[in-house]
Amino acid sequence: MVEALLAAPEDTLACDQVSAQLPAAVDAAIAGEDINKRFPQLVAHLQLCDQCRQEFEDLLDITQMAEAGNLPEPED
Amino acid sequence: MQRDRYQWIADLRSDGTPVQDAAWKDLSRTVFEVACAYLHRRADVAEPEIGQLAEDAAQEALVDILNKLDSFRGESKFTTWVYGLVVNNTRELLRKRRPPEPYWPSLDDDERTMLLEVVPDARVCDPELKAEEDDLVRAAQEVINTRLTERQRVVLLLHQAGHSPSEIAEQIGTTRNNVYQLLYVARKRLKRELHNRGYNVGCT
Repeated sequence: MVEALLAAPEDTLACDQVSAQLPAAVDAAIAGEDINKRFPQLVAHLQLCDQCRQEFEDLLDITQMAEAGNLPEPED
Repeated sequence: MQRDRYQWIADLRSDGTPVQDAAWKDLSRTVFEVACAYLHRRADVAEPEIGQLAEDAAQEALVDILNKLDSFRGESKFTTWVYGLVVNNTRELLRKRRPPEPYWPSLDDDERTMLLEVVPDARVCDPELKAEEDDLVRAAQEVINTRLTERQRVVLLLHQAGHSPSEIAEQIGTTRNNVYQLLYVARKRLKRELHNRGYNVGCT
């Protein structure tokens, strides 16, 4: 029981470390790379952390929209 | 104008030139468009609010980008890095709109009492080892109850009970990063206190 209290959580990346890697992971995903191989700790964290997973999905969608030229035009 | 990551940085840093002006103008437009796109995705934002919120978020994001420009390492496209900062700033703006959560939103008095008096299961069958483990567990319990702050104690015990850092953060009204920090400090103190009492729990 004491060992369990002293052990680190299964995902070894903290959320701020994940946030710093998200842009590179999103670029890799859009380029068709296997991010499980290139970012295994990030992927493991995303499976456990709802908030970081939402951040990844938001950034992925927004980046895909931007690269396709589909961002909404601001109203003048 | 299409710029790669290096061109973006070079243009944004060319102080006082038309090149810099053009780069900031393009960046500002992109930042506003990204803020709008993110706000359109949010179910908690009404359509009439989007314009003003996007302007506010874009201003925050541009300051953030300026402050962090030197930290961009080129591991991603510059534009993707910018989109990430815009989304984060917009999300933070929306978070600040919500009223703060109460300190202990989900724990009633009985639950807090239960957590503070948790009695672990001793799974060791050997009587001699069991006695040693019981002793260690009692010492750990004493440290947890007397040497940790209340916040450290609750975070440690909730994590021990199987709650994820995200769930704990929502329950006690803080950020996930703060939960990780509280866990780190609580474990470090627990180790140090047990070590000082003569228990072999690894280096502090």
